Amino acid sequence: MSVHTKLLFIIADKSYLIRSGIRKILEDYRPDAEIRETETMIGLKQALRSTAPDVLLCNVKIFGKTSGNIRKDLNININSKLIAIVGSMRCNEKISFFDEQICIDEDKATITETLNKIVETLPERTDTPDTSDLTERERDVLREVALGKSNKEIADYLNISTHTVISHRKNISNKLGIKTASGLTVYAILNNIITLN
Amino acid sequence: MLISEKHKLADIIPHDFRLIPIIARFDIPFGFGDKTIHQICEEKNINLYFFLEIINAFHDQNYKPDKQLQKFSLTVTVDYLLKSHRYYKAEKIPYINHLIEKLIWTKPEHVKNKSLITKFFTQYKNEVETHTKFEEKIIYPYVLEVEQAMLTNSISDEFKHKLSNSPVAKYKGEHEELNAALFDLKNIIIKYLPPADNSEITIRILTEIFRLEEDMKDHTHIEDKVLIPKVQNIENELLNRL
Repeated sequence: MSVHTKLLFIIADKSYLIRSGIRKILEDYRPDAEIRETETMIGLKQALRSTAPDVLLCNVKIFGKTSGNIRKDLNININSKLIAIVGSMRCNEKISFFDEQICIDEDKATITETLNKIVETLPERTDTPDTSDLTERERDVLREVALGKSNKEIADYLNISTHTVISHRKNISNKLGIKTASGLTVYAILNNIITLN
Repeated sequence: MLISEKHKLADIIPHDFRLIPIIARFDIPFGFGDKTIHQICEEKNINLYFFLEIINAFHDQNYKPDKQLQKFSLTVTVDYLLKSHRYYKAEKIPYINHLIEKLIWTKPEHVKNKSLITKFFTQYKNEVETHTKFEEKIIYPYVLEVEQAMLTNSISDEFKHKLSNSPVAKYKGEHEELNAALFDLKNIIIKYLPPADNSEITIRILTEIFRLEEDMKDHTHIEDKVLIPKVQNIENELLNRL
């Protein structure tokens, strides 16, 4: 089970210097973000197969031949934002299929501003919601987990599918920042969801 | 920065004090004066390149050790992993345990906190014990056997059987479980546990957990990304020879 509420950026550029520079700016801008790098098209495709980044920063040169529709070629998630990394000249017109562009000789403030503009268009993050944010059903599931029941037992008891139990558990872990069953038990006791004995 | 054999070890430690336990794992005692890493490794008969890869990987998260580390014998790698087990089990975990024992809550409604947190940590301790025991009794000896078979080019019938039921592939997930328990403990203390009366102990516990977590992440990285792929390569080669 993975807790995934951080913003995910992928930087795709052949140049180590450019990747590292952009990484530095990103780290200063959002210290809590997850940043991945790739230098090849193959690496980028692999990364995109397993995750949908919030923002993909990509040098257009990495593509080689494309049909023109980068989103379609790479099968990029509709919610992912695309920023083009361009050389010394910033194009005046929008590069097709990209939401924004950053130019490698721009200063830090300008690049940060562009990043911020894009990040602000992303759906709101609820990184650390309160416990009170647990729904009634999630509290039910949490109680049973804390009592030591298996997913199957919980499903039978609450008359829902095992699949639904698993999805509730994922949400509970994301909200509380606790992944293991014994951690959830400690939480449930501390908050009087179950009592000792 | 990239740490090289020409650096003086005494200059490196103030630069990154987190390396102290790693250096200790190589049985290098302090009081080494102005000796370079090269000199120290030579004196202590430590594989210089292995030492450099390990400390660079720990020092710089973006350092990519995997290709280089693949070159070292499995014996050297296993020896290092065993030493880090010893460090966790004989030093780090008992120390955190000792600190947890010192926590005090006096309000009656908070008395249960102590047993809750103690129980959680005891369970974690037991999981680490079971996991490392499994590695020390099953995985590491098997790994060394694989290397031996490769070097001597001899495969007994008994080993042939083991090889086709390799134990290494399936145990990766356990690392995630162990790291998850530390992750939870951190969040429980930071977010949910009512503060203990002696908060200075809480601060020490948290600091220790963060350090242990970092060390263990590095350890599992070497197991998952270096040890296992290398063993699997050799396994395939051996199976092809059969």
